[in-house]
Amino acid sequence: MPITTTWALARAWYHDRLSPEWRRPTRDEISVLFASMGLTGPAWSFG
Amino acid sequence: MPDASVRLAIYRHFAAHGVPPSRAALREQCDLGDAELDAALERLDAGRAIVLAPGSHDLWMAMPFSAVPTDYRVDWGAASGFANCAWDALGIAAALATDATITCPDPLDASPLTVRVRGGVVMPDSHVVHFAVPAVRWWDDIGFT
Repeated sequence: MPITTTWALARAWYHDRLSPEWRRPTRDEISVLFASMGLTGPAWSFG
Repeated sequence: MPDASVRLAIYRHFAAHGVPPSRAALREQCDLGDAELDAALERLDAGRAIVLAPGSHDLWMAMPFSAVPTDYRVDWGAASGFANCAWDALGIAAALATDATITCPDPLDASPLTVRVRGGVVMPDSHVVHFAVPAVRWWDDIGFT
């Protein structure tokens, strides 16, 4: 994965980690996040 | 339940100091006894909000931070510490919304490699990151992942 994509994924995944309201995203939410970044296929699927 | 305050205390300590808080600090800050603290840590571990070292109540990971030394060292100005992987090294900069300098060995030849985040931009942008484990199996062995 290009490091620029990894950086975008890191920001989407971790930007709210220090928020008191943080909660672990559901698999569906994670799948939507992956897809929004073009991360599809078996490596990024929970199916 | 005190889980949210324990989780937040852990993360804030990592952000400020680069290392996890001591049990004594957590007990005092969250106003908990030993058993209550252990129970909160166990719930957070079960919920994958943190990872405890196997068979203990010692912190191993509060993703993206690592409580133990790894190949991924991150300096974010206020402190420095370790990340669990390349993604998490960038994750520290993301979680703290700060500039950061990451040093790690090049997987190809172990030569020192430096990546910087400056003003929301990662440099150099020519590197690639290898995800060795499919997402569906990340938690099969989170230490390996």
